[in-house]
Amino acid sequence: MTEATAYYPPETRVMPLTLIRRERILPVPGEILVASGQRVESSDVVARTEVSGQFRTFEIARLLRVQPSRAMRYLRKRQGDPVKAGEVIASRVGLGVRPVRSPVAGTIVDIDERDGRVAIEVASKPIELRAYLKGVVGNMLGNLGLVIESPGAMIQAAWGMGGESYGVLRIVTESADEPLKNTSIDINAHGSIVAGGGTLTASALDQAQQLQLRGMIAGSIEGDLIEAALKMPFPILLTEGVGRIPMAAPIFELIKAQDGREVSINAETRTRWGVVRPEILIPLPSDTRPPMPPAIGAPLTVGARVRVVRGPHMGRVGTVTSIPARAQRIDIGTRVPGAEVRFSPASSAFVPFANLELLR
Amino acid sequence: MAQEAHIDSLIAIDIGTVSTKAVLIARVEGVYRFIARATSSTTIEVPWADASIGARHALEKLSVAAGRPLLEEHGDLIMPERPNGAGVDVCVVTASAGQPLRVVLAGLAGEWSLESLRHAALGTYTSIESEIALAGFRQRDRSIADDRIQRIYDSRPDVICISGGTDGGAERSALELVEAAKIATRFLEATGTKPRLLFAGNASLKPRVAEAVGNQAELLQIDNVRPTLETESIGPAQTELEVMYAQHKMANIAGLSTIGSWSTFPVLPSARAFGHVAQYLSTENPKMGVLGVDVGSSTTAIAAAFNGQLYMTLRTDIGTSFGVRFLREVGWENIARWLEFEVSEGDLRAFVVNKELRPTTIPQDIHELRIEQALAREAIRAALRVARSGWPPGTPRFSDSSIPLFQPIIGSGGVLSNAPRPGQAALLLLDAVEPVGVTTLVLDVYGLGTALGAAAMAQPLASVQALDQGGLLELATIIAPTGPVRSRAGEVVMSVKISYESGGTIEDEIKAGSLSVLPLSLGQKAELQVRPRAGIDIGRGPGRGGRPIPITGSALGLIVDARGRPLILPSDAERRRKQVESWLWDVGA
Repeated sequence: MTEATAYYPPETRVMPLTLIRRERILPVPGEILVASGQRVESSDVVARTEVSGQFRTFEIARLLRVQPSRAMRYLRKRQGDPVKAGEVIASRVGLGVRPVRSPVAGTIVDIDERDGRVAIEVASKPIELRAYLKGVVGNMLGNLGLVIESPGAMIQAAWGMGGESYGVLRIVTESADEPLKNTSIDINAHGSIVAGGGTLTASALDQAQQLQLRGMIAGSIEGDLIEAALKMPFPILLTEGVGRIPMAAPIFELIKAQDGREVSINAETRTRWGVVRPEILIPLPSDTRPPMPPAIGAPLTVGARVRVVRGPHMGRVGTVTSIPARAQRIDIGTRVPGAEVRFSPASSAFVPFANLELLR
Repeated sequence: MAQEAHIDSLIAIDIGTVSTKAVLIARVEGVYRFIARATSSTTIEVPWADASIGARHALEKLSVAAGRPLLEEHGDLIMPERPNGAGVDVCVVTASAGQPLRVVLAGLAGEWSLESLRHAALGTYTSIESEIALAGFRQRDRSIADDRIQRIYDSRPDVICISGGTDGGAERSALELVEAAKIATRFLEATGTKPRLLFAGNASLKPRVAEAVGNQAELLQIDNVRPTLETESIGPAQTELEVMYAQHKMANIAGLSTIGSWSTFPVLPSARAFGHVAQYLSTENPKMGVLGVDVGSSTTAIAAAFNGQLYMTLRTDIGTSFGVRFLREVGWENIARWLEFEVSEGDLRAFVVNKELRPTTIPQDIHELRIEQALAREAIRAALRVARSGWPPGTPRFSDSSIPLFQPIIGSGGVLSNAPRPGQAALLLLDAVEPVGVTTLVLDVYGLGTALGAAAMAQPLASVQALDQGGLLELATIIAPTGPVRSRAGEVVMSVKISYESGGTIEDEIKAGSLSVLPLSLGQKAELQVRPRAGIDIGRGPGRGGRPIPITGSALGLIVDARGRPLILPSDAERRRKQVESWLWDVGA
């Protein structure tokens, strides 16, 4: 294959040791509670703020039966003032005119003198942002957030349901293709993040709820279990996707080696317009500064480690042994460019480029 | 701008959500021809986050395919064409990869002004986040003032489009909507976003709207989308929304500015370029419309053109790669009904989720291929349902048909152009569009539709000649009769006779409910004589066949679709699967 016809496949990161950096950002500016260089645990609150986004407007002029231009003289509050539920915000003495009370607690955020209108932003509960990753505070991002750094293992999953979590990692299957059942999870897993290689089963979901797990990691889940999985109170990460697909062997081996360590998982998945992939982060001790993740955009070459992401070999990991110069015919009848991939000494197959990704 | 006379070669680059395509058109012996095309993965997302990387990958491949160097050492496009044949004279760029414009539509009544706003918004890459009707639409849309403000705020729109009131008509209600939009805009400003207000309502209100908004929001006032109850005028609103999409969404595509700097013209939204082809073709035969159907990975576009007037409809939430939301909307049974094998809801969900997670992947077995094609059928049908309501009254059509007469019907998008067999693409279009009368199915087999539409900006002749030189593949001539077809199941509803120019004839009697293919190879010419039975209409009146129709050969020949309109599949699952299998067999799919 010449450089001019190189194929640049998508990549999935499976890294035993790298420098992990994660930004922790508030939805709106707030207070940062840690300083650069400070060590933090996953559960530490590192920043907080308040968000409401709920508004009430009051047409003071109409309610007090005056011209808009005169309404403001009856106002008892100024912009930025807090308001209690039931508190009078404007009043006028007049026959049949009632004082204007706010039915909700909040803050006066807008006074439109021209139209005689007042807006209140409803009071909200504070938002606390936790560190999520055990590590050291790096750069500060003003009053919006900060960066946390840690050496550790990083694995990108395929799909996730739910948000962030952290806890002790418990491996509950012996192999990458053993289904994750209720019998796999015993009482020792209570409050931990459970990982198993194969397909997640309905019985495992029931058991996970009872044992108040903080998260689950599996190779895959069957399509008819998705609705049930979406209702779980903890995040679920799938390294391969939907179906009966065993976890890719290099991912299973890496996770298995870290059994009992603290792990941070984020199930957030966005597939376009700002792609976000779910991730498994395992902070690790390191005497030296670990390498940064490799540069992206490597072309597919002979010897590359690849994973099949669609078709009859979906989920299998292998090595590219050759890249035929000509497109090959596949079962549906079309000719497509691709690569010969060896999965084991006795098993290899031609796989279209489009159905391959680099595991790095 | 390049002078037309000096354009010997032209490259069109299209940045899609999943794929980036590059097409080379060049003048060969005085005639513009399609030379080669290449595709690569789009690289707008992390880890690349630079569209120009994917564009260069595509150009590298195109260089090899065309045997012509296209890129400088440092990666820029070689322009103009050099004496040794390297590079090209002109580059045009289209894009559909940008996030759609988030819009809130607000109008007085759902079935009038709000519907017109919807037609305008769906003409380009928008995502309608909320619709607010003051009256007459649906009960849940009767919002009190605070709810209206809150809904606008929660929608985080880029644009708030307001209509309402015919010219000289209702005033107070339209001003209420403007007021709500203004207040929501003030609140949104505190979050760092400032939506624009687009007022397309009662023209006599313009000064009062300007006064009400003051300097508190960016206000754009355009012609009323519903100047009278009977007339709709969505052109100006559609144009403004398209400009906003280009300026505020396409411009944000990482790396597009680099590719845009190669382009001789401003970057054009892909769907608009695709629509140009339908628009151009519709001027050739004012008695019929032209329909273009483009099923992309994230957007399904319908371009209907009648006598040079283009009606675009885009569903930016429906595509072959991003189907999770669509599956929920349309229901898994409606996808499964097009399959000749049994599939469970779970299997379908697994398919669409996996495809969405890895949108660049391709089907390798027949089951996966069929599911992709089934999804495409429903995507087109869903987009057509929306598009139909925006087409003008009085388009040529049968009295008993919901779809106008189109000639030709162009199918575009990977699921169609990459179909391994032409019969698969043809049946997909027949099932999805349900055309009537006599028409031609054309396949954009090289993915040229968008490229040719964009190329027309630089050199209209290049588009016309490339089209004529085989840029589009003729799939089949179609006869689809209407009338009491279904009620005569098994009976002969018409006879057809093909008289080949090279000699010989074929005659066939067509039974109701059947799907028949009669051979007429590419390059062959023939005359087609149709004799419909009483009550059966092929576009010349019930029972009338009219004069012989000259037809030319195509990939499949002549398909007589006597399955009736609307197409109804058997309700029994086993019978339905057998029926679908039989149709697939009939067209060689």
